[in-house]
Amino acid sequence: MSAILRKILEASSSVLIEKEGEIRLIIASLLARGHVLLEGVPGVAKTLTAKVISRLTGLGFKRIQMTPDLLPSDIIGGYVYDQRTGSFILRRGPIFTNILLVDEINRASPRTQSALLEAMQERQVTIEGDTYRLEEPFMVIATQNPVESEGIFPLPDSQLDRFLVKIESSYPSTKGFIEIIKRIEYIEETFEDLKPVLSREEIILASKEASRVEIDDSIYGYIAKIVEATRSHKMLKIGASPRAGIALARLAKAWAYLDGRKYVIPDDVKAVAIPVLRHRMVFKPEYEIENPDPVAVIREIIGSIEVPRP
Amino acid sequence: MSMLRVFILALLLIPGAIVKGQNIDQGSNYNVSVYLGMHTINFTQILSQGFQGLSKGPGSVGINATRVLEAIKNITMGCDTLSCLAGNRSARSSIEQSVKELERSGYLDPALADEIMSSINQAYLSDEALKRLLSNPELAGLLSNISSQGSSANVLGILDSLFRGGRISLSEYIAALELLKRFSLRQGLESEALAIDRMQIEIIRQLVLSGTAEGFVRSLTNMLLSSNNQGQAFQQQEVREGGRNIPLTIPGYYGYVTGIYMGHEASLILIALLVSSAMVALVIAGPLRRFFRSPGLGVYRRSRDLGASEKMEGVIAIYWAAVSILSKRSPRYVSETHREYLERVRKILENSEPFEDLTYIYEKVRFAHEPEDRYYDRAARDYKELRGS
Repeated sequence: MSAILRKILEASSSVLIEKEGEIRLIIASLLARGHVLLEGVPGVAKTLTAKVISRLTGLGFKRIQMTPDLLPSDIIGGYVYDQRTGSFILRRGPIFTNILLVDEINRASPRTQSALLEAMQERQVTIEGDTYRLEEPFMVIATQNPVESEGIFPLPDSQLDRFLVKIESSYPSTKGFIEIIKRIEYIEETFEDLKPVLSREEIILASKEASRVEIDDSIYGYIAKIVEATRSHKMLKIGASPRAGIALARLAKAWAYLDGRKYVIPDDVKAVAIPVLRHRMVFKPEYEIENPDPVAVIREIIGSIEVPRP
Repeated sequence: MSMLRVFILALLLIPGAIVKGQNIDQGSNYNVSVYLGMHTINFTQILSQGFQGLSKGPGSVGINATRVLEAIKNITMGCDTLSCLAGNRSARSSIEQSVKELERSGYLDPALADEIMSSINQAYLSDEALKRLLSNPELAGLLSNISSQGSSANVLGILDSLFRGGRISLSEYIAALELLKRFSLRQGLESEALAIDRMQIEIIRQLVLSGTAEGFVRSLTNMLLSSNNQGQAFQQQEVREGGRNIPLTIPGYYGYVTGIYMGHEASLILIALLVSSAMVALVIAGPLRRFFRSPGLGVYRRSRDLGASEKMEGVIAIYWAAVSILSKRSPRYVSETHREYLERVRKILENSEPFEDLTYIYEKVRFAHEPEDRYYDRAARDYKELRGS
């Protein structure tokens, strides 16, 4: 395990219970310069997880609570009139940060979602013709509740594709749950005292090193086969895009880096395939009505594809 | 002659209809209703009547050609070639889509894609062709033999053997499968039809693989592997484990389907398209040969006699030789990574350290390309220990 991940996991273990997998995926996404969609019912520590990571990484953190009346300018900012100087000055929106927590992203109107997702993709914003680059590292952690159906604007498939991973935040085990209840006061106090264990510079350096992790040609072939298999699967109307393949390779590199390796192995690809692909597939209507499990489909595909051999 | 084969194959499917002929509930399933859109009442009876007299032997004139043709035309929905099925929901489109996807992804040369589609489209099923063949005495003789075969599983097996033996071409095989699939659907055997659908796609996949440098290299690798016992063991193991990656739904077909290989005729046609791939293969043939002959597989060469790249190749060969030994106790699945396999066999090994170390070294050499001299000796030592234990 890399020093970065070890430090984060050690420091977060006093606050987050049974969240190691999610933390690792979020840190890997951060190093891979991607964005995270956290899906889970209310009360499973989605927001706390994002806050803990931002604190421990020493990165700037801002939070937006999405509502239907939120405007794009509420996120990216705009020019406002300054009465003292008699001129318009730039007021930067909350997007000008390192880690942006977007709570309940599917509550915002499509117009606002679109503005946010464009900024995520381009890593820059344009305000009245002026372009501003967002500071690196920049990562959006968006949350959404899977069960709500009223007063929401589901993200279109094309915009879901912009998220590097979709993580399903689940309930803790009974043992973990009991531990949370017993230690809640301690957890709340400890959270307030959390200090950064990494610096922004360390994160940027780690991100560069992760991008230089070696991938054998046969692993690229393996990734291509997985992605292409989603396009010919009988249950799927639309499979994963080339962007998904790029995401898979990029995250596999970061995953290998966090494991302390400078090369990718097929296990890395398998480990990240589900979070990378689960939100990039569209089922055929005749299967959609049966509420199919994308994870089962991905597992089936991975189980049918030969891993690289000599 | 090829027309004859297509028709023989078409009729291979028919005895099952006579034996299993039952009414099916057309409205019970969407797929079935699509396929039976042109359903003719009393299909099986017509067919049975058409074949009356077959038992009289070769050259029999007892075949009621009109009746048989009527029935066959019903199977083919009046289509002359498979290309006319483009509007069908799951028949030809699945194959066509696969070819297009591969072409779009850059795995398949557009010219080869055209060749494949043309091959599919020329699977003759026209009335004229069928009529000509029906008057052939040789065919009549064969029919009388075939009609004694009952199950469609047998038919599929015969079909597969013919293809593997190079006795029928790829397009004939696809055409026959298509007919068999429609027959299965007519009988309400949807899972069988699905399996056949996948076989068709698999055939295309095989074709495509052989039409690229990768496919050519793979064939070469298999050939070299076959030249020694280790390789043979791998191949057999892969076949046993469904290494052809066909998700089957019918256990009874397992033995047939997992063994699909290119027929000789199809391979010959493709070789003409593979000149460029052959160039690549020739370049790498030397290293591949060295790889499979050298260290680890039987004859150990002294470490000092080997170059760095030979040692790396040797480590990989030693690892697979070790896997071959362990596979007798716990086969390795094709989709299983080296680490996953290690986790599994660790439980059955009394002393798992040699294989753990070998797996670690293999990973370093195979994926990190670390040219460490000492790895070769360590791997050889691990292998000896593993064999001894």
